Amino acid sequence: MAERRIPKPLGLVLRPMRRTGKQFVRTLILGKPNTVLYPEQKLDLPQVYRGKHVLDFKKCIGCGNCVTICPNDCMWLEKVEDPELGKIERPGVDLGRCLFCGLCAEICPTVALHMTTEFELANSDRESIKLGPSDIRDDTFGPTFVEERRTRRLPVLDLSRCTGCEKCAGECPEICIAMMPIDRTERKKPEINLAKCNSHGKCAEVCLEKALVMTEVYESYFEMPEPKLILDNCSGCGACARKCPSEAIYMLEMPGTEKTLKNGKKGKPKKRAVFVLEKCVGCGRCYQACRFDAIEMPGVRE
Amino acid sequence: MAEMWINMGPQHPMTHGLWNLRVKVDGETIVDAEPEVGYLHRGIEKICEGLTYPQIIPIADRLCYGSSLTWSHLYCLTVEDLMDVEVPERAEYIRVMSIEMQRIASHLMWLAAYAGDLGLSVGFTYTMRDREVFVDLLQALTGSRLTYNYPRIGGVAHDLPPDFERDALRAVEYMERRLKEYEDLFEGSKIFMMRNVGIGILRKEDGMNLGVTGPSLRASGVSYDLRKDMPYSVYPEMDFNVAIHKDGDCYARYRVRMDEMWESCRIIRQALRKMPEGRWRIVAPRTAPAETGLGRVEDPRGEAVMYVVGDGSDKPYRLKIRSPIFVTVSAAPKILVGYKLADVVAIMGGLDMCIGENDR
Repeated sequence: MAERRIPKPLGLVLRPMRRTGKQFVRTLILGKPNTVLYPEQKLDLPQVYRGKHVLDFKKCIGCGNCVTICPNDCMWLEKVEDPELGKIERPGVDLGRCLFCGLCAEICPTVALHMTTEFELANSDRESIKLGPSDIRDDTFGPTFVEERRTRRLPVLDLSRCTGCEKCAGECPEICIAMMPIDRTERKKPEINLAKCNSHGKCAEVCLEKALVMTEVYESYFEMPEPKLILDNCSGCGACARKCPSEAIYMLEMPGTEKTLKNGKKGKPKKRAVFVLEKCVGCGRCYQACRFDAIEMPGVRE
Repeated sequence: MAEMWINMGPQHPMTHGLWNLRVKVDGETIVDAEPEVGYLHRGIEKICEGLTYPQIIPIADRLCYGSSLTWSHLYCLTVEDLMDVEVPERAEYIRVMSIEMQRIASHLMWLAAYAGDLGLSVGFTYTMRDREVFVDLLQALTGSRLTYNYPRIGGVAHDLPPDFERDALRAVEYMERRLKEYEDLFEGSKIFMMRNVGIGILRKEDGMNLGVTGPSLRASGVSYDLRKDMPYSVYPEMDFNVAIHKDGDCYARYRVRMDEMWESCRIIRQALRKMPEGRWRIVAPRTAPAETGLGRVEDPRGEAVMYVVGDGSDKPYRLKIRSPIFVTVSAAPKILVGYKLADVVAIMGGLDMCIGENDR
């Protein structure tokens, strides 16, 4: 430890003077000031800076994960009519409440929400800093933004095309695909063990129906809740499949449940929901849409 | 002569935040003192009970404006203890490096405020100028200037930006040059030395009995630093000394903080040199078991403790925060009694008050 230094009387005067004199020369004579003239000059902000939000409408799927993770409830989903995309739901931000923590951009499963270096957000009244979806829309910002997001090539299943031929399971070198029967539908679907998959892509190559497609998937660092179906309660109405933003729910027919009509013919069989969990983003909209308590999803807001 | 109570605060230049120090004076001499806190109570512990585990990290940042990274780091340590999460080694080195940068920035902000209190405007502007270097570094690392929201449960939010090591080494070199300059500026100042040496002596026994921690206790000659005594993260692999001073006065507290900045510079160099490659974050579970977790870190102001109780859901059942300054300020009567009224500014400024974490 440095001991207490007791300067001599002359040093007591000269040493601080030398230090301030050096600073004087540096700023005023050499012209290297320590400050910037703010409105004219601005500091260089790093790209990770968390400023105003920007939303890529085409990438956004409207799942509402950003709304769920927001600690201060400053985001909401709003119904928008877009000439290109039709009737969609997109989030808006109330900057008056925003903490600028960046969790919304971090949790976004499709990397549609970004935060720019724009920081001059003040306005004269409270309503004008409440930014709706169209205010934060910028479809061109995303590609300019370099973000280290963990991506992985994974086979993604389109269940409506899958015939259950088991070719993919036979081809996988890691033996990570197992054909699991779907209850009461007499069909099978490949269950992929994502922990073992090392993105060979052989399963997608052999798939004749193009039901398995290798896709770049953003992997979230957040563990999300997973929906679970209570089959006895499911009425087959399809409300969950219509609400699902990532198209992870398929309605499959259950043979043997046809009702016999009055004229002796058989009606259509009942349907049930099937979740493809690899596609699920864990937003909980299926749980909110289900009116028959057929979906269990602990941890999702009502 | 008649004794009387004087309110210093809640609006007083000495207080650095909203709190009230009532002092009983006999003429100019202080005979009693009574700190009153609670003006900045935001109910953070209660707010946390309604938020999920990742949502609390930005709230934990708001505990202290001076060293927000330490608090979010402490929160993540606590929840990792609760969830039994192993953090990747690279993340631990990034965390240690960033909280040492935060320690330097916090001490520089204290030094600036302290110099301002004692009427040294040059000290204020110089230290705030050099704090900017570390704030810029942390901004490039985390994306924000004051409330960083950088540690995550199971690692840190993102990897080091490009060229960060070069910038950090430059900043450390710059800082070591500046620290010599401060020693010349402050200790060369007759006024500064007269207002510090022999003022506000905290006896070793009093400090230990009242639970004072951090630089205030180390300035009284007690070698108590959680980084050495109960190492967390990768501090056991770092080579540094605990700054202690035996006098216990305001000058000793100033000296301990200056020495800590030197040691922090050493730790940043070592952390940058030893930093391994690899992942910096793992996927943390969403829910916590019905157990308890405890985290203790050495905050720039003392020993900070968080205690969290999980109940099997994704929200904590209870989160308790132990603030170092709440304990240190309760030792104020012991330190103040016997000194003059004009010394209150120097003594209380030297304790490095941060009301945000105190009132929570």
